[in-house]
Amino acid sequence: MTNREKYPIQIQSGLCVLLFVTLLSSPVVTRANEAHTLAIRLAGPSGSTVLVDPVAGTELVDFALSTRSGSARDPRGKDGLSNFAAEVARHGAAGKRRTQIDLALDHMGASLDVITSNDSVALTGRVLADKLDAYLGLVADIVLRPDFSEDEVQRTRREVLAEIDENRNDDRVLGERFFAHRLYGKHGYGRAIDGTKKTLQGLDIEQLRSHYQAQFSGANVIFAGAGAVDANTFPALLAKHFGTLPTGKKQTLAAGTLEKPSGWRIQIVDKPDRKQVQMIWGHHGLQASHPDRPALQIALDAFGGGAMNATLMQEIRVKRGLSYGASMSPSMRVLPGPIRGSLSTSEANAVETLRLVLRLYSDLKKKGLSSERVALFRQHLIGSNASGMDDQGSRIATRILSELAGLPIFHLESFSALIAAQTDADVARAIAAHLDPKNLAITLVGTASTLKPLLLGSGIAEGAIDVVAYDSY
Amino acid sequence: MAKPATTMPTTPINPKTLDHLHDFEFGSMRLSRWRLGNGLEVVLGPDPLAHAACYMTWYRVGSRDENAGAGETGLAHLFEHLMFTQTKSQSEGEFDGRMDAIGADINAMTDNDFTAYVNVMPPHELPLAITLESDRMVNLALSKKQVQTEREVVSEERLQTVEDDVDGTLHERILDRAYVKHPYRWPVIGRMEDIKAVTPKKALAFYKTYYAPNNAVVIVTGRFDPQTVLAAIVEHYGRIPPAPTPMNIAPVEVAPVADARIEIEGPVPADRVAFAFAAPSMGDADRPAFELMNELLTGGPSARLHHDLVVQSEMASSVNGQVGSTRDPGLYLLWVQMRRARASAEAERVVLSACKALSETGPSPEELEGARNRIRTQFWAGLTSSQGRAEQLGYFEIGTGDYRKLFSRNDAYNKVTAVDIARLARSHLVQHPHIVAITHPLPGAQSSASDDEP
Repeated sequence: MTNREKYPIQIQSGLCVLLFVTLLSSPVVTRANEAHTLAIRLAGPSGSTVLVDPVAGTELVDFALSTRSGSARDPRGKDGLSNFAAEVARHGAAGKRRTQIDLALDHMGASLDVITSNDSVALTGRVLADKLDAYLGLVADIVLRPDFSEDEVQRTRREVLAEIDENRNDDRVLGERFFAHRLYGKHGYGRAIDGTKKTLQGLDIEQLRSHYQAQFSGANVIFAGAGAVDANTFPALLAKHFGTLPTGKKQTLAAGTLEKPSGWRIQIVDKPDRKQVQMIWGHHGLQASHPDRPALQIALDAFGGGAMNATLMQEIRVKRGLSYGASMSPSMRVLPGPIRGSLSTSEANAVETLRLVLRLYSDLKKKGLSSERVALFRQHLIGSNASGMDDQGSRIATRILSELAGLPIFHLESFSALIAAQTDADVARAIAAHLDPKNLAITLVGTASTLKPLLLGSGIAEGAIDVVAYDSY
Repeated sequence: MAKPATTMPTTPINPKTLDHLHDFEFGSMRLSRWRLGNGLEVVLGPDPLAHAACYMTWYRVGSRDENAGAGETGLAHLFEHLMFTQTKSQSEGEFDGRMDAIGADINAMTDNDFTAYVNVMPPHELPLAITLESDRMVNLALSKKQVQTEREVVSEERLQTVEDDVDGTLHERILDRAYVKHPYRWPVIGRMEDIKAVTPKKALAFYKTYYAPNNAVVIVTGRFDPQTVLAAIVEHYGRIPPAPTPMNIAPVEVAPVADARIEIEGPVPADRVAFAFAAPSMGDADRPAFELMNELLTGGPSARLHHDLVVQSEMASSVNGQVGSTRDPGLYLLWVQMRRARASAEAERVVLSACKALSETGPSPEELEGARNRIRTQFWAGLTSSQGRAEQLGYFEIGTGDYRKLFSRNDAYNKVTAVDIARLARSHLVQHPHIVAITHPLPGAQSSASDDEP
């Protein structure tokens, strides 16, 4: 199948259509315009947080157990530790070997994956409601009683390394790996989430065990269930299975030192026989909880969001046919995450396209957005939340991200109002304060022997271009 | 030119213009099917608890309807792009502009048997989708410049998804060898030379032939009032005349027609292997058993092939199975990613041996129950959003002729026996020809990844 798909807009927000109750501290009840579901936040076992988003008429539960952890907390030189530790635990716990756990999950028809990001390690999956009790029992084994056997550590290490290799087949994924490192360097956000050959080989069982135990403690855990769950049975099942979860100490993430790019530096990730160039460009942005974020979201939705009328889509795809899609968006992270853009174009068009992107981005900074564009994309963001909110899995993922980022309890419900309140001046101020088109990290996945001469021929200095092999990192 | 109205009508529907074909219930879901006098079919699946509304138009035209002999492969897909340009009443870019302004998520997809247009939006904006979709069903206007630009966009899409993509390249090679006569043999996105040769004249001829109410089904899901939406659909589509759309009866061909082996080289760290076997069509009575068989082989970490290839022998890092969702018999593809220094020949032995074992003894009752549970999970996972519901209904409507088969499948899975699966493994995986396609690393490229500072 092939389609007109554009790069999806990053939607981390929701419509004012939920009734959301918090029972963590003093009960607060808010009713929005139309109540479709009742989402609840309450205290869970050992100081953990529980989010429940019930949906009528389904037999499916979307489950997640997320920690306030992630690759950004991997110690220097131990890239991939958080992910590796969780993968090992997932494959051996309470005396059950990998094959027994896999068999039990498969027999239930359930999935359970380790998903690691900069800010979190999560166990996520889907399960039929009538299997939820048994499923949570298995998850509790993995969280509370991991085995960390030598055999499984070795096996998982080989497996993760093979997956890193497999990801090199996808030029976009490959580019992201190099770009993050180029933009953030030694900062936590620059670490390879799944590690490297060298760092993974340097990790031993005791490091894995102690790191894992610190992550999976009540103060750091968020449980979430959406779909065929309710506010009584889900928390009760969590209490039954996770009652012995250690309380632990809430982990915080040190800001670290951000060294911003100086000027435009281009990194070519050299891969043979490429007909296209995958481009990723960007700079440091702001943390999810920053007050300027809503205004910046409007600005970047107008520039590189999913709408066909966004500047990048208009200028690059609609007017010139240079790429199938082009986007630029802010990330939603605990610390200042990247503002990054991406597209792919044929090698012959690469220089023209790159120059165009850089000029357009500079123009945004210089000229700002017209009042009409602010109004259009303010409304676009508000309206697009309907589709973002319509899926139970997306909703619960957004709630977890909000929780991790320290956003207000009602962020999801108040987002539309927040966007609606942004003025032209707010947007102009956010553009002036947070966009930095003069200092960009630029990663190009392409074939260096043909791409580099094109870049040099266009006047880019040799010293501004680095070339690295695609399987070097 | 005056813009079409975008409000819901207030006048009652004239029963002569509309047939109520049936109502259907599944759990708390209430669906209904209607047919307008001009042949347009409408399926309504309201969900008062949804946050959005989804409006999909499925046209029964896909790459199978292209004239490959005339150099027109990819025309259905490229035309899908052109549907977003302009109409007699909507100026260039106005469709996108008006939908952007309400925050609608708009998209489209083309496959062998269909082209579908999807709009997800706040429920109160549904009238705009009805207005714009009905308008472009009949009033499209094209300029040379628009066709030229979209040719470039689709060319870039092809570079991205086929020529620079390991799996895209292998898939295209497989199709070429799997069929001799059937139109599934050419790629949906089309050949590069054909994409570049599309003209406004060709595109408009395609439009006039296939874009008509009697060749489409509208599926609406999410939060809306069925009577109001139905009235709006009748008002906006009711006057569009039907067209003499040709029936595409393709020659019967169960692919792969012969055993074949394809080996190429590319920038991959280790061998990437694809196996292509025969698969029954979406509507085939054996289809539920075949889908369960795929689950048994690749559906989870304990599935037979995953266990043998990834866990036990550690020769591969992943294995995935895809049963083609086609109206006519299609292909069952197994993708295996080898690890460094492990030859694909090892995986071939394991895969063929697993197929043979399944054909001889079938699955255990426990395996079968697990596979049924996984399918049940997938069924519900497909229905968690309004768009997901509309897509599932559409796939079954196009693939089997009746969206209700989506729901009756659950009973069918429960009736499948181990004997059924052994029989299908024998007929489709062991006795019928198959294709093996491999991308090997480029010569001298199999060094292990070095580290660490790029």
